[in-house]
Amino acid sequence: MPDSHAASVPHAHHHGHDSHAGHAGHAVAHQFDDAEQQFGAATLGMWIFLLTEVMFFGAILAAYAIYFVTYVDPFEDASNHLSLALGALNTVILLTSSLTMARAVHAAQTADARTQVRWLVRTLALGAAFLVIKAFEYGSKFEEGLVPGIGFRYDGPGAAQHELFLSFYFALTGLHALHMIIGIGVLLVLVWMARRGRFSAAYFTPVEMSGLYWHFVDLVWIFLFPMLYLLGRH
Amino acid sequence: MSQHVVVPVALYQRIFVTLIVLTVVTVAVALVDLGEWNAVVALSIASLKASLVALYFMGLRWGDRMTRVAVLVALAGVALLFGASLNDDLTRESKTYLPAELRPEMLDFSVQGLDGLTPEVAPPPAPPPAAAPDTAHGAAH
Repeated sequence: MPDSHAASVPHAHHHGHDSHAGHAGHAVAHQFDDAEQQFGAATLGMWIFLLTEVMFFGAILAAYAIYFVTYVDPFEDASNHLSLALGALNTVILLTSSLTMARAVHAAQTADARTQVRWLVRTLALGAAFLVIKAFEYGSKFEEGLVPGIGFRYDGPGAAQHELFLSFYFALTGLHALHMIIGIGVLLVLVWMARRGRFSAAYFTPVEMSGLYWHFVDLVWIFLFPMLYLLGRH
Repeated sequence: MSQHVVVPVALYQRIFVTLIVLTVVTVAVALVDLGEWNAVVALSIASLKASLVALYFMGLRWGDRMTRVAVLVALAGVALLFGASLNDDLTRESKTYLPAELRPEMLDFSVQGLDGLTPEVAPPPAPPPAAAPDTAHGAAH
């Protein structure tokens, strides 16, 4: 290791151990010039991952759009099987959780570990509340016989199209909920790291990257809510 | 190079309030019958909300050039995905990939005045050439 390099990164610990918990420095991997470059690489990598997620959800949404323009009226009717109140409530909960996540990043940049943990736990609680409400929604669909393939009992006009709409509803919201569950797992790790004093104004990359993921999951819901819940309310 | 930007909390709060207001607006508009415009308005408001989340909560506004390129690639991909798929599907004469009983009535894209110029039924495929081409083929060699 050249001396000049070591000198330019005075706080780098090259073994990645946590022996300096709370220390402002963090290991800079040796392929990077400095922490700033490493942060830039992490940010770009995260955005490219989110780009693949856009394609992932985009493909299902494109299929959904095609069936919507094919069966406008039955899809608008089928949309009214969903609870507008619960969908709107979950939208507000997710938007609020994005605010608390942004505050968690802000706290990691400016505040102590306790404040960081507080905002992370609030985000986590809101994410859990979203999933609980979603679980109640799913439960009522089972009770009403509106789950495609499993005792689908709706036999009004356009029953086949209603079943198709509900298939998309479960596929889209189910994949979204899976992302929420993963997000909550990520937040748990962040809480654990924040408690150990891992984050500071000099190093908060995991909080910022997890924040990008959390906001993205919020962003997906911003499209799912009107596309699924609001079609047939007029 | 990415900059560490500390965004003021007041800005986050203003964006949040805007997002909540837009949510109320999108629900309110959905309750009014605007015909086809309901979907247009709903998607426009959703795009506006998504832009606010990406620009401010995700910090794209302060992002570096490479990040912006990644986002533009994502948007171009989505535009291609939706544009090409819907262009195909909406201009088909019939959605033959659907079961006949589920096939909806299609929009009429035929241009008036050109009807007489297009054959009602495609001409039957020419019968497969029998012996004659074979002999010609053989003769050529």
